[in-house]
Amino acid sequence: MGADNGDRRKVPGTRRGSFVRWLRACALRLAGMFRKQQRDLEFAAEMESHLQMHIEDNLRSGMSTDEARRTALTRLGGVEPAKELYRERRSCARNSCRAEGAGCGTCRRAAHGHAAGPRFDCNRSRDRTRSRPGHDTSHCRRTVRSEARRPCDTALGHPINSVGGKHGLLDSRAPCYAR
Amino acid sequence: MGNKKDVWQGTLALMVLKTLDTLGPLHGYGIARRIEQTSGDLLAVNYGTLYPALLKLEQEGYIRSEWGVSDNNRKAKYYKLTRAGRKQLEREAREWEQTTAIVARFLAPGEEVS
Repeated sequence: MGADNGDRRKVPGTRRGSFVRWLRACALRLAGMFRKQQRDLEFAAEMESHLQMHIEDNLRSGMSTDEARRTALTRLGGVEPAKELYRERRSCARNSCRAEGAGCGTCRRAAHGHAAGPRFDCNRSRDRTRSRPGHDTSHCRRTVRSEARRPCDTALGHPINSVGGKHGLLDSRAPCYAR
Repeated sequence: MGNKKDVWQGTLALMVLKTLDTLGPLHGYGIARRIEQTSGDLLAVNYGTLYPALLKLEQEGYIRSEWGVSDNNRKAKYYKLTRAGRKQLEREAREWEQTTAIVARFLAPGEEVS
């Protein structure tokens, strides 16, 4: 089974066009590195519109103004963490390698370490890999920092497992230990 | 809120695509609320992670977005299913049905798996 008999035809059941889609997504993420300010403003406007709609709904359900706003912000997980997640997805930031399931070992360990607890020492992990030529582990620290900024119900418990699926980590939830 | 379940891993995109297929163009908040309502308010969508999910779908060409005006006269970004998105929805729905059918066979009481 699975022997290569020189048959060049497509393997039945493979997803045609998935590579093209991946390429397209990569190109768009690369493009996301430019015009950052404009894209940030656009997303801020979208967040604002989301919040206002949620607040209006909360007010209609009988909440006070303060409570309505507080509840809307809580459900969003905070505006800044939401923006950070969005930026990560939009751009080709190095720490987003994890999001594509292709992160380096240190990056993976950093994310796992964060999930394991706040005492995880990223620098120790970096020291272990320092001897490898050309291996820049600074993004590892950024990964941990960005994890700490995540909304608490979106911090990744098992980043590698959770990003292996088709839709990645976006709807994964795990306890956050960064509080 | 306390006993609401999180959206299961890998199913948010399917729910988003299905929602857009059913209701047509919709903004992020509308999509999230619709998903929660369809689940009978048993699921809680994490709004902070919904937008990166929408962006991912857009980057893959399954949805398209454009600014519009909501019912309350508020500027909002509307998401719309593309043809590729509709095909993806069919594919994902099929895969999901297969998966649940397989699990159901394991859970069926007293049935021998031949």
